[in-house]
Amino acid sequence: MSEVHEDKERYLVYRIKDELYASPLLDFKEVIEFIKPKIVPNMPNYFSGMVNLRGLIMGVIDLRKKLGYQENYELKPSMLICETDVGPLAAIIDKVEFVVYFSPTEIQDLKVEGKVDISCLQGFMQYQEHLISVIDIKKFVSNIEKSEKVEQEKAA
Amino acid sequence: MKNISLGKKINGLCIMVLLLTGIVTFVQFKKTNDSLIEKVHDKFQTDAEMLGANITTVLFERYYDVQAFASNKALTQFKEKEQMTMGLNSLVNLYGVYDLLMVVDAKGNYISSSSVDSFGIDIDTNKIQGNYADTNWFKKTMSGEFTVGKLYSGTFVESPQFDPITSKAEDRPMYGTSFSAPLKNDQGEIIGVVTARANFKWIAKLFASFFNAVKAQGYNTELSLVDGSGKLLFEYDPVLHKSDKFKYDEQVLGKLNLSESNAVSKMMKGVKGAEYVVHTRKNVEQLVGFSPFDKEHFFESFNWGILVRIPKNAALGNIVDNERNFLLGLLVVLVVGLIISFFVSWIIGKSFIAESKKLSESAVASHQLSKVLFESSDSVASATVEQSAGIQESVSALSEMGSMISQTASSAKTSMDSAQKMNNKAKEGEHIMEEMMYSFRSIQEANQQLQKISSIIQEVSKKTNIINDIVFKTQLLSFNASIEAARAGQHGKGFAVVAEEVGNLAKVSGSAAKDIELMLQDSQKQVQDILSGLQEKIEKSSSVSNQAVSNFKDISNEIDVIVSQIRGITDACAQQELGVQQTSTAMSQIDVATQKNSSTAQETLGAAKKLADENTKLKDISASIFGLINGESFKSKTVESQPQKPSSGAGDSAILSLDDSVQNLMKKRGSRDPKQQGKAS
Repeated sequence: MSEVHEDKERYLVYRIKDELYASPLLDFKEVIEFIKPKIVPNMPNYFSGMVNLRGLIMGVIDLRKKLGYQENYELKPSMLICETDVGPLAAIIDKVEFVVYFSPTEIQDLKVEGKVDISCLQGFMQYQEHLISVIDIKKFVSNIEKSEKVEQEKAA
Repeated sequence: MKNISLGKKINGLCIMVLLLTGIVTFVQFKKTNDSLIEKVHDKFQTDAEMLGANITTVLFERYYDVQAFASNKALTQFKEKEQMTMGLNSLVNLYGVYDLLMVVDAKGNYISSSSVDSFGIDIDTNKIQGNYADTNWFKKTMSGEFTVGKLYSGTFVESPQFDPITSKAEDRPMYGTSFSAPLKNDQGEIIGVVTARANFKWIAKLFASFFNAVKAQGYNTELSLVDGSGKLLFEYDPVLHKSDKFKYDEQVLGKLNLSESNAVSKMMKGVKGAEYVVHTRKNVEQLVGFSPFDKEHFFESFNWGILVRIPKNAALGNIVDNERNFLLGLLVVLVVGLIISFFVSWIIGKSFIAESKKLSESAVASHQLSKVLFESSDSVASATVEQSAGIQESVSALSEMGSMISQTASSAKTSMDSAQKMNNKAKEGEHIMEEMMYSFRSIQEANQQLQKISSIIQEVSKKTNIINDIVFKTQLLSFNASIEAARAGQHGKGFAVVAEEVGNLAKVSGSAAKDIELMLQDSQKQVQDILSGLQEKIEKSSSVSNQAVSNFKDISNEIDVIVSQIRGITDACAQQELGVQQTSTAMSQIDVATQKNSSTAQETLGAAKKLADENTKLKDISASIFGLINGESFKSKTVESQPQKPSSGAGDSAILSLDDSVQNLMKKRGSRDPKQQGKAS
């Protein structure tokens, strides 16, 4: 796949369970193997804990749990390191599939109005036979941060 | 006799014995009684005799008194009358028995007399003076017709009478006896007669004393003196006269004739004895002892006799009482004896009847038993015959058996050979199976090597994992490289391509690794399948072969057992052969014994027949005993009335039927005998 994609963005496609998700490649700082996180007490169930990546301490969010899936113990999961406003964060996914060139215009927006907050779901892209959900991972993670903060403040 | 039952016979016998005893006792008693009566008779007869003798003595005294008076010379001096009277008076006083002594001359003229009587009373002699030539006593004395006895003579005696002379002198009846003797002078011429008129009291005294003597013995008698013509001369009967005094009744003495009395008539014939005579005046039966005076010592012309009379009851009172008591006692004894005899005979008869019934019952039972014995001995005899035949058959069967056994023995030997061969084959099979087992083991070893291959494949599979890991990491690296290239912007475009290519390579190698892994897994699986199937089959065939080996071993063992059993059969056959031979000899011995048994059974049969005969006899005997006890008529009655009942003692019908059956059996036996003989031989 050595073709030149001038007007196209690069997206990292990853798998959770049988579903494929895609996020802009540049949202990720690094892709690493799964490191077992240190469990932090009194956290939501999708917050797996903290990891030390080459001296940098960061929180770990289990995206699978966050997206309503069960933890898959058969697969060897990977971690996606994202640079957020509040710092780096590790997100656990089942598997990194491939990198895809895709024009953002080709992303079909989701035209659904509802009470559920789907602002971080940017849309869907049709790649070959797969229908891939495009997630704004930064936003998604930031939302989490925010909601957590709000919850924490509320709790306080 | 046969119609009388035993009880009646016993009763009759008892009655007869009792009667005989009674009669004998009675006769004996009667004899004794008679002898007692005889003694009483004798006593009274002797009394009469004794009284007669006493009277005779006294009479003779008087007889010679008068002769003595006559020999007195003073009485010849007829002229001296007063002196004579005085002398006579002194004689009267001296003797005390004479009422009057008187002397008359040869012409019968009164010369002189005593003037005093025997009682000492004076008498008027004037009344009696006169001539006595016509009197009997004078005439007889003068003519010498004396009253004589064998030893004496010289005096004429008048029998007792109411003396007319003394009665005249005393003016009252005087009873007496006169004795007259001739008065002789010195020349021996008869010049007169002396007559002595004796009062009867001197004889009457004898009667009285005698009466008292007899009364002292317990008898109130009546004594009488009777003359030859049966006239009563004197009687002394204080019972009748109610007085001890002598009574001289003119109406009776010398007038009452007792000659009609049996006793008197006998006595008049000179017989003494005792008789029972009815006293006409008293109308009482009396025992009369009578005796005439002794002719030797008494006057020949006098035919006096003495009667000693006593009422029969008085004489024989004790004896009659005794007799009555005895008869009463005898009757009581007879009656009691009869009752006892009836009772005893009843008891004996009862028990006899019971026993005879039992006897007859047991006779019938034994009869039936003998019948049964007869039948059973008959059946034993026939059974022995059959046994003999059976034994013969057994002997032949035994010989057949012997040959069969030898055949069996040879068959057993053949079987043993076959079994041996089979055993060898089984052992070969076992060896083959063992070899197969070895082959299996080598296959198993190969299998283990195959398993090693499998493990190698697993190792390879692990290595592919490492490749996978590398691929994964390479991929991650390629992603990171892509990210870095993207950050580099325009400068990183070439690097991005490299990174992409690396990623693609990684992907290809990853898929290749995956394929390898899949192939490996597949081969691994196949190997595993082969291994497991092979293992299973090996195990199965191993177990099968093991089983086959063990089966072969079992077969071999079984064959061994069979061989040993066949050996046992062979041995047993040999022993059986021996046993059959022994049995055969034993059978022949049994045959001999059976023949012996047969003859014994015959003997038993004969004995049973004899027993049956004896039983019949026994039956007859029991029946006749029954008849004897109950009487022939009773038996025949019972037989007629109860012919079916054997217990009634009439087992004759049963005996007859038994005899018939025995006869039939004997006939049957007789017809079967020759057959049996043939069989036995």
